[in-house]
Amino acid sequence: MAAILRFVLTQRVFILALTALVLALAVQAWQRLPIDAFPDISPTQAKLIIRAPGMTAAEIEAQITQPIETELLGIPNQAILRSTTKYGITSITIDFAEGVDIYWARQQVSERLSGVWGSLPEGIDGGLAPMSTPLSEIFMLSYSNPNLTLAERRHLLDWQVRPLLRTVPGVAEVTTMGGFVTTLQFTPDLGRLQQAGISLAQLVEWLQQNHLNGSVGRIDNGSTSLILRTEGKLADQYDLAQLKLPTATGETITLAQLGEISNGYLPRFGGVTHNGEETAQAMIIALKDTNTNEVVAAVKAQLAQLEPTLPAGSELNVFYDRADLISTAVSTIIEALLAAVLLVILILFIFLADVRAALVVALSIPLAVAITFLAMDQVGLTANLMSLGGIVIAIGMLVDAAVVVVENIVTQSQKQAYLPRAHRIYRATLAVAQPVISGTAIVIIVFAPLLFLSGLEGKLFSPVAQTIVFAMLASMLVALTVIPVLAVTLISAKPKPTPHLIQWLIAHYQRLLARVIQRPAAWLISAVGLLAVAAVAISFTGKTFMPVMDEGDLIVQLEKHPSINLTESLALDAQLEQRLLADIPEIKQIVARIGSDELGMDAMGLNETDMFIQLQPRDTWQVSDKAALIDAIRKVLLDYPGINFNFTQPIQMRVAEMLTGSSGDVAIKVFGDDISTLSSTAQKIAEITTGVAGSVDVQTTLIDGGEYINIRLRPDVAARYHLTTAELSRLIRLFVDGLHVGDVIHGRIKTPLVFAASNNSKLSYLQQLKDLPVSLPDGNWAPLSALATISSDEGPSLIERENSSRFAVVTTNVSDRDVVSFVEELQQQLARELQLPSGYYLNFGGEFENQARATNNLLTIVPVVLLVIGLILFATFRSLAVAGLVFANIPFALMGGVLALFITGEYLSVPASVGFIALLGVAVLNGVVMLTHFQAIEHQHEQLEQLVIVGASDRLRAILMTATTAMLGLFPLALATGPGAEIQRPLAIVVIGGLVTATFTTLFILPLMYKLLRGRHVRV
Amino acid sequence: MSLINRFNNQGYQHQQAACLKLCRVAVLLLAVTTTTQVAADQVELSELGQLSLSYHQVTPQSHYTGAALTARVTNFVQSGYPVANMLEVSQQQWLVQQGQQVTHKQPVVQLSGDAVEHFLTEYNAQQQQLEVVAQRYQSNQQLFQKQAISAAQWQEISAAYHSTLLAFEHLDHFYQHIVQINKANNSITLAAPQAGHIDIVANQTILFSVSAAATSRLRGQLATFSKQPTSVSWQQCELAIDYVEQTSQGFTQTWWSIPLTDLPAHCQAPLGSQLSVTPHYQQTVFNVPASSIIRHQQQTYVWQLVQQALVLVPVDIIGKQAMNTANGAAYLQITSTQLAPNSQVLQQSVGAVYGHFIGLGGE
Repeated sequence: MAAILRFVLTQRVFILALTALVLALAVQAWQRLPIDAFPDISPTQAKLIIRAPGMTAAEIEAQITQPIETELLGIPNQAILRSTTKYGITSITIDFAEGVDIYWARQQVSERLSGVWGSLPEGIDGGLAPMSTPLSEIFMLSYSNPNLTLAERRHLLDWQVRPLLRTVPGVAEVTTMGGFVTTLQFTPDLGRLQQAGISLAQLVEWLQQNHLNGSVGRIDNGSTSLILRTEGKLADQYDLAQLKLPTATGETITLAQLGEISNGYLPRFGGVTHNGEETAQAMIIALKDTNTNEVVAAVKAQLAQLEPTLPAGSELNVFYDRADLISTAVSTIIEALLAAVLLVILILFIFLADVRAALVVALSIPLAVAITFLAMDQVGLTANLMSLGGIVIAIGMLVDAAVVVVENIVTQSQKQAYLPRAHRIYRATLAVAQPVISGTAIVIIVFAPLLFLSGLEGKLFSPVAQTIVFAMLASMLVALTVIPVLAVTLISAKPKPTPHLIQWLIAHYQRLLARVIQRPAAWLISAVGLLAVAAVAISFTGKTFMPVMDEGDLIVQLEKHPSINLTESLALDAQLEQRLLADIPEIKQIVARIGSDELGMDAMGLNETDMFIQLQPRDTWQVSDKAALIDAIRKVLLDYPGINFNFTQPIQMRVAEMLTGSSGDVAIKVFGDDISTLSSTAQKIAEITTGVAGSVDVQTTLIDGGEYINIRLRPDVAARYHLTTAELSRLIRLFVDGLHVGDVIHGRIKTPLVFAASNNSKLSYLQQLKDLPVSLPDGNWAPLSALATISSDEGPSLIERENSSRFAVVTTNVSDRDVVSFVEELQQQLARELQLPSGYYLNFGGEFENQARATNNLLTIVPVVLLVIGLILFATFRSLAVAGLVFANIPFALMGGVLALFITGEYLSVPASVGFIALLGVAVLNGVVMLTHFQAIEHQHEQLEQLVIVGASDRLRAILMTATTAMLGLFPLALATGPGAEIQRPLAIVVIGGLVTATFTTLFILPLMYKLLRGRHVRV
Repeated sequence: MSLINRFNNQGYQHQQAACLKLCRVAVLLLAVTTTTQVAADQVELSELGQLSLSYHQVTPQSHYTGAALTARVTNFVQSGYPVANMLEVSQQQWLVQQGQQVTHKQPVVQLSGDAVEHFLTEYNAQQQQLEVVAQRYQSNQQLFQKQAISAAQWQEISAAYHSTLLAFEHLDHFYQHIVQINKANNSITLAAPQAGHIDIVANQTILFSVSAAATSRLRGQLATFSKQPTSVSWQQCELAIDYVEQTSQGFTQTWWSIPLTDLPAHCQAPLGSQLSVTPHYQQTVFNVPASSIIRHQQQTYVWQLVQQALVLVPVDIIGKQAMNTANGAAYLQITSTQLAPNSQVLQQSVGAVYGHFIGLGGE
């Protein structure tokens, strides 16, 4: 250390130049740092989306989901395998263990899928979803133009907007939804087909065999090589109409003679409404690990270029922009950071009463922060709410090292005025180097275990711990290198009188401490009594996993009865939207998404809606806050019975789905085989859950309620007429969704070529299905009901599985009480009132699961932290008793945190727990500062009481300065109200409250206890 | 996660309401598992809050339309006036097109070739032969009456006469259709024996036939045992069904319409043409918007407004009207023994009312 200091003080210009360079690099690093609202909290996840048109949930589960799951279960390092199967689609999600490389994971899943694909039913499509995270939905817009039809709007989104945005770096996918996808439709006239002796299957096959360009090979033409190819691709409607087919009689007939060629629409799996009017939308999904702000900016730039080229009347209406949230959240934290810096500098000026010294200390803040940014850039940490929050938390502690160094430089300069200036500074700095390093080490040790937290809390708080560690190391580095160099130039050697404020404080403190020492029992009992109060208070403090971050906008999730069709679902949504817009002036616009997009990224049913509610600026609101606004919306929605609803936010919704596969504070999953039993058991669980105090929003997934019409060919008839189920399915599909037989490609526009019945012929009621004419080989026809038995059956509309077991889920939010006690009571109630069928079992998830895991993590971490601190203390004091005294300071520090939580009404959460861990460090550090000084001056005082009072008075300024800088550094965070402040606020409140009591106990109880401990051993 | 739902400050009342809701769901699920119909399948209007409710007044209609059928313009069975093909080997130059409407005596076909000369020769020969035989027959008839000749002789003369007469008439019938003979190029022109649609057959026995307009009908197939339509329509043309054949072709029976004769010109489809026709059935039905229909426990219902409540009324859908828009605004035709004529049927927010009925709603 001495050598380093010598080098630093002899090479001052070099150090200052190096400092300037570091500052310049830090500015660059800050500009380069990806800015996001949150750290990447998603696990390594791969998602498969398989579409199976026309297949029921049960069929897909048996024929697709199960085989794929079986194959995927063999992949190593997987954490959980989940699937959701609905009509026509299955979504299989596999989460991998922490640290698994996403590319490796995707390759594994891809290989396994390829292996099993051949054994899956024909006609399915899909595969691995884009490499995104559930938080990748970063930008959404709807497209309106009164001059265009819905089909035209969708066409424009599909073929102008989407291709352009897909080229933006960082965009994984652009999904479009809503409106109608135009097809080139051929409506065969079955009578003419029969007359021509052509079956539907022959027609489809003929088209598919002829609508292609074949690659043949090369031929040698002299010394050159020519490429041969066959051409058959149909280019347009005319080509299709002129396609010739052979009839049974050997003649040729054109396709146009066999039916009608027109434009139709693909069957719709979802729709979009904007303020009650149907529209189309596009959603930009970012690649994993991209810089969201940059991607959004690039998307906006592309849209700005595109907009003038769109047809007149076009409006690209952005209703979700993650950059807004990022900007607001990061602004909140930056504002808190700046306020913290100013407050800390103010405190420094007040306590040091030396402008130059205070300036030198204050300079350590930007330097330490700059080095922290550099370190963040190097390790790939994004600037987000959590990482920047870590810096805010550390601000108060950053100056400690510099304060110690500067204070000693000032003191030693006055005492050793005969030495050269640089030498005095060298000696003064070297003298406190060890305590500075030890103090920094203690803080780092306290926060380091957070780096090893797992799960969501680990992902959220690891960046906090990292930035705190970086900042503390940086502050130490600055204090031992740059500060001495600055001190040579800036700090005056003239003696400064102790500031009046400090003198006044010391005088009062000494009197007060003397009184405390004279009546030890009363004070100790009072302190312990307060501790007991805190212990009682904690039992009344609510517990939650993580506070909810206000994302600004809202999502209302709607659920209608499971068999509702798209038209009715759209109409109901439009009704709600219009009423909400009329009644709630705070709502700027509403865009509602029903069902799923063509990719099936979010496989919702036609009965499910995500209603994005964009709000007006807050200063225009008539209601007091967001809770009041939600109450107002709730009141409106409660006027619309028959529709379940739930409030959430864009990120909140996706994170909940990502972590548990369902949203809600508590998710009670019942596992078993039989869908009906699962459904009825879930209903019973829901009833019991509703009865538990605190439960709100009890929801049971509607897994039952799907009605199926089963068509089974009669074996005798089938054999006699050579009818197959495949052919029958093909025929019926023609009258339902149509047969997608190929695509017509014109430039970059790909139009599906579909064989479908006309709108008027499409099946729309059961009798029509029964009467459906089926051509027979003998030239006659028969109604379907004569060839097949047609029956109606009820079955699952949704099948959810976890690790290959079916389950039904009941979710509930918990209001006005903590989740842990709620779950405990619920578990007891379920044990008493629910008789589970044999082979069925329950599992509790949701926030509770996170809470339990976080508690376990903290219960592992905190003892480790205490053990390490104990070792340090023992190494410092060489006395278990003295080390014990420092430890005794800890409960009093925690007491303040608990009382602060109780008073402010905040819940005990993961951030609050992190605050308690931070308090451990502060309490121990204060204790060490006080007791090491007692030991240092022990020989100077004969009277123990005098030793304690003088020693404590000596440390009053340091302890008060440390405490106030730390407290005031966190005040902006505790008082911040903007989006993003919610998560850090409990932490700040705990630390501030804890610092109050920790400072009090350090200044009064600790000296008292020290006196009591050492009473017998001190010289008289 | 936990950036978790915590916007909810529902009180006890809300929980109580939710509990009631869940209990109701449980009851309904129980009902699903049994065949017992829920006694009072109704929802009070007062429970429906601010849902927009609009109604459609159902008025009984005497008929309904079914799913499209394929029909063909066909001559009624054996109703054509056939012209025999007397010239197996001849060149045929048709002066009309298949299925064309022809007038009586309108030239239809010109036959030429050696066979024409042969026919004309044969015809003349046969005619002369008949004259000779007829003269002999008439003269001997008097002799036979006077018993101047024996019965055996008369029988021979008589047989020869009738045989020649028949042979001649066979040729003569064909000859009567000839409106023009051109011996220079050995051709004859045949005319239509009556007004009507011509059906060029040109096989070994029949050359063509002409069906009177009154015999052109629509013919199609109906599923056996299915309800018989009273009429069919296409492009604003409507034709009554005359009868359905009593024999079945396995799964289907043939129906015949009345003749197309009285239909306006634009409805006169060419003979043999195939049409997609909409059958009309005689039955009292109600037209309701498709949005009114709801499925519950595998049965189709509508919500009928009864005083201050909506009552689930079972219905059967038996037909639909053509859709007007791509969005599928359509009317369905239903029957119901319980639906009162002129009653009001819910057509808006039907899904939400049903959701409320099965216990959905609220947070």
